[in-house]
Amino acid sequence: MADSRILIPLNVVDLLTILKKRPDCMIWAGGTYSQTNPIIRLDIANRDIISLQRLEELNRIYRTDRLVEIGARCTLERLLKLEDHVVPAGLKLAILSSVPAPARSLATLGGNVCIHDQILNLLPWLAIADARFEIRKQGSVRYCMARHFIEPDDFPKIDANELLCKIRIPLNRWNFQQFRRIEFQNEHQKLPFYVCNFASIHKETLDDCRMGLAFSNQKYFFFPRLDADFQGQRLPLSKKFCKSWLDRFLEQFKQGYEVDDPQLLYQITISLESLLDKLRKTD
Amino acid sequence: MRVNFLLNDERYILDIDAETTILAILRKELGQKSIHAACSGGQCGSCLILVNNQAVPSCLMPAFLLRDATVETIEGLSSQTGFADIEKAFLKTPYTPCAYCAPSKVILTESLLRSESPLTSSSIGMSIPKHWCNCNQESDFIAAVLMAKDLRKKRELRPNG
Amino acid sequence: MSINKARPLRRVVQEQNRFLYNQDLDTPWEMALIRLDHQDGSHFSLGLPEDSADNKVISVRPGHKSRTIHIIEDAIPLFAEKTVQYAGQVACLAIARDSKALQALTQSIKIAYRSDDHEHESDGGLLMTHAQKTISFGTPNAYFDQAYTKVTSRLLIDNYQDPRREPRGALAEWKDNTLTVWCSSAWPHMVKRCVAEATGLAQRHIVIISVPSSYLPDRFLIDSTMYACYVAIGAVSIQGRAKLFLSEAEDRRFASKQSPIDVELQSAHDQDGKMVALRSTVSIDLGRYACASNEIIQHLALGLTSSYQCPNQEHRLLALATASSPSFPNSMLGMTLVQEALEQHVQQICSQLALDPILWRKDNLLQKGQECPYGTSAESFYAAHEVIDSVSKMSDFARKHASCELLRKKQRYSLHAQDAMHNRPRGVGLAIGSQSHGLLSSFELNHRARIDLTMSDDGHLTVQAPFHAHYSGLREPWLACIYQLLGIEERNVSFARFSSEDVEDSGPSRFSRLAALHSPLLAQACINLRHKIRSRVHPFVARASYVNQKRLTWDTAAFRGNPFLGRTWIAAVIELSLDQIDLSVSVDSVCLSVAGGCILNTESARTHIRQSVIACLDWLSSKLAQPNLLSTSTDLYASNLGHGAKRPTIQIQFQQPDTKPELQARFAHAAAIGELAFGAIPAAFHNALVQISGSSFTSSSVDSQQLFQKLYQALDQEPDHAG
Repeated sequence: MADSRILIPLNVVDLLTILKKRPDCMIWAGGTYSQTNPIIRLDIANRDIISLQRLEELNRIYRTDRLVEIGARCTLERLLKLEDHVVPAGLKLAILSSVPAPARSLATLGGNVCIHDQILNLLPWLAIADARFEIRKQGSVRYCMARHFIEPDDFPKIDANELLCKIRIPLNRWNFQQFRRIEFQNEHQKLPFYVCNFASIHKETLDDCRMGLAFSNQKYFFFPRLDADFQGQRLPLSKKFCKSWLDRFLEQFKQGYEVDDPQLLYQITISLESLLDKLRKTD
Repeated sequence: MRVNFLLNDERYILDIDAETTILAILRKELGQKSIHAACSGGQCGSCLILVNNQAVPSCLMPAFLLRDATVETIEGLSSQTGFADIEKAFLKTPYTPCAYCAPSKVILTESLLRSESPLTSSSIGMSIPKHWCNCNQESDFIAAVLMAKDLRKKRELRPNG
Repeated sequence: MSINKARPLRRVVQEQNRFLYNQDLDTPWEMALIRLDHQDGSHFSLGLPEDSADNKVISVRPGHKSRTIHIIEDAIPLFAEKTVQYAGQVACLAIARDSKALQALTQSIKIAYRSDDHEHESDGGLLMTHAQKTISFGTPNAYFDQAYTKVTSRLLIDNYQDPRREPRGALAEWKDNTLTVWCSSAWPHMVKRCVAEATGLAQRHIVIISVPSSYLPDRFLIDSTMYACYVAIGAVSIQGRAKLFLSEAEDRRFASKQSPIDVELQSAHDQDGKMVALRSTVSIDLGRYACASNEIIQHLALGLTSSYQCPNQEHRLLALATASSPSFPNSMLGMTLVQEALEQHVQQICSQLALDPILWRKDNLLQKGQECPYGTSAESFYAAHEVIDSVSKMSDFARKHASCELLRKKQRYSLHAQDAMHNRPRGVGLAIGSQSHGLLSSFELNHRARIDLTMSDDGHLTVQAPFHAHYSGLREPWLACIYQLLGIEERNVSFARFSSEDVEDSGPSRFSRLAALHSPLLAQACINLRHKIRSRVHPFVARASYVNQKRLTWDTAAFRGNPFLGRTWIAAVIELSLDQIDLSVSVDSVCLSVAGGCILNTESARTHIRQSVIACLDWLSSKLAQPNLLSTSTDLYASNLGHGAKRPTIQIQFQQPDTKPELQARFAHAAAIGELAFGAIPAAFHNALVQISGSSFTSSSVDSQQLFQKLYQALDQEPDHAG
């Protein structure tokens, strides 16, 4: 029999106390990643586990006029079942397109964000939606923007004695959202990627618009600093504007990342173009 | 650690390791052979069981989460009266699952029928795994679930229930 | 008439797997899949122990490198996969006394490479040509020399696997010069034959006990032959008991697979595009033991020669035994595979010579009374024309085909999203397929089919058949037949299956070909019984059986003496569209027309065909970007939260002859629709893909990269995003 112990704290304070004393413990939210990753799976027998199973505090959802605060332990299945005015439709789209249906009843939002695995990936959406994470450790709370949560080629910015408790998503900021998961696969690799587009449109004018690109099994996103270009643009957007914007986007992208596969480049281009095209025609 | 749970209305107390999955326990220890381990990654839904009225993939769920849970598998479900609704719906619609996936499809249907949210074709569609057994079409499954819903509603309205 | 349909589901749930878990043989040897550390993941193969007396050293028949493996006692590797796919490691099937020995074996096998060993590279793990046949008809060479045009095509079909898992396991025991194999198979005789070929034993030394254990409604697996062969080899090599129970996680490497096949076709045409000569080279890789190679060769020949008329033909057919794991054609002993290749060749002919695919097919199909290498085609051949007509009418093929052609010719696909979203490349493909009772029955029925009727004194009738009438949807028509011929009502009739041991091969009854074969026998048995009852001959037992002659010709006296009488035809039209963004292909519609005789139970037939179609499409799409064609579209925002996405509609139309009711009751022209879909669906799918891409694919498994290359790289330019 393995000598690992399972600790089931009943409130967050207890949990943070345990975490402070035993930062080597494994935090068990949904377990979908731990169970599918063979290396971590081997580790389960040798490490103590803190199960978040009984932490009702992390299972709550608060909604105010301006934001929704989702407990990190909320399962994705539960989020999908809630109405659109509580959980943004874009997040539901992201869940539907990236998480397999059976796993949704176990996978949690917090777990998904902290693991940043290639199967479960909602971070791009949260990052572009300006979500904020409430991260607690004993005696202190800090807030972190989702887009700063992961550095390029780095692990999530969360210490071993910290716990991601809540995810705060601003509401009513974007009234137009697009999210798409695109499969790229050639003989060497399979690299799904995500393109997102958020816009806030008032009286046929773009107040704000943001576009992004994220690769699921590489820990980086690409959000060019081109948001300002969209501001104040009247809809429908002109073809010329879209073209020049896309050119600059791709230029920045090519500078940042060495992508030379023509198929991947093509798929990125055409998918971004299709998002722009939808935006262009929105009024 | 020791877990205490209810499987098909029978209480079990088991001493388990942290890494043991529910799938392993149910198949190997408790003889629930209707559950299949196929993808072992929560993709296909062949190992679905009902835990506290919710369909979960047993290949991903560690057994320590079973503490005080109510687990139902097709072995127990098939002896309940509610099973007749699903069975009838499957037989009346063109939906004829192969026996490999039939148990998991029954479990999925039952969990959908028990869920509180309204059942529509799009909500059923959302719950269908992407790696779906190829014995049938999704649309047939959706039709079967909707019919099962009607049958169950009718049965519950009947005075002798 | 009420049918207790509720039973099967519940019963299957209760009974499945009982066999594998409850079999209690004392300490059989374990067979298991082992993985060997291996670097580059290229070709690798193992042979059987050359010298069984001293099996410490196994000389390995190399894939492309020669090596020697030192193994320990109590553990023997049997064979390994030629192409490594499992977690980047060589997967090898081995037998060992216990798991400890197996582990030791895993550690002891080391693969050593010698880079100077180039001669072996060429043979690619090929052991031998197991069977070959050359059919010559007319004078093809002369016609090829003076042909107006020639069309050449080549198709490689990979070894794909039925994604549906079956219970994996079998037991074997070698004792007193007898090999007993327990497995679950609907074809015990086929298993016997394959085991005999694999082990080199005579059939009289082999006993196959088929144990019900299946997820399929009739509780026998379709093809568990490979497992049976594996354990048989294991048991023979250790001279004892062997058990194979592959773990869930690792079994896929050794689950039975479709044999890879390479079909090369060349046809010569006159000025009108008529096919004057056809030449083919077909090689099928049957793996290590090349089971049933002669039968397979016969069926390949049949598939190539019995659809289109061609006065001059030459076919060279090879069945190869290579050092990879045994494989087997998934359906109709390979006939569907060559039909697929032939249909793709026809597509190429039509596109190369700019001919109408419907007209060409109709003009070139075998006509009534025409000579072909396997005999004279006869009366029911008109059905082929009928199905083509009806399917083209149903799917509006001519218009769609023309418009897709026009679209493709007019604009090479645009690289702009605006166009990509509105003008999705589309393709529509047509293919026909057929199957016949003739040769197939000789193999699958083990030369006989039988129905027994027993009537007790109280008037209760028991019908014994080799399969469950319940599950095949035959219960109702059979009851109707009994009522009509004997006047016995449903409540007095019960159905039973012959006991499994040494019974005729039944095949899964859902493959209604067998059901169709047995239905005339039921009618015959009823008539026999009626005579007995009238003349009061006790006991009231009647039997009707059909014995097929052993040689491979059509001896179908029971079916009115013509090989083509029981022939069933299918024509399929598949419409595909391509998502230019993620290069995934979606099936928009599938139209099928089936003809051949009177279908006994239309609903059951429809369900069965639909299931086969879905299975086929699933295989075909497995390599495309979208893992499951029939599942959700990834174009999420196009629909409401991604669901309610467009599903392909599968329309099936049956062409049934106007048979008089009394004849229908006797199933005069019972149709067999078993594996029809496998013949036409893959070809139609590929023909549609060819129309999308504008050029043909040489491999049956097309992936998104190939599609991209065909579609866009031909433009020879960087993706240009200018608006």
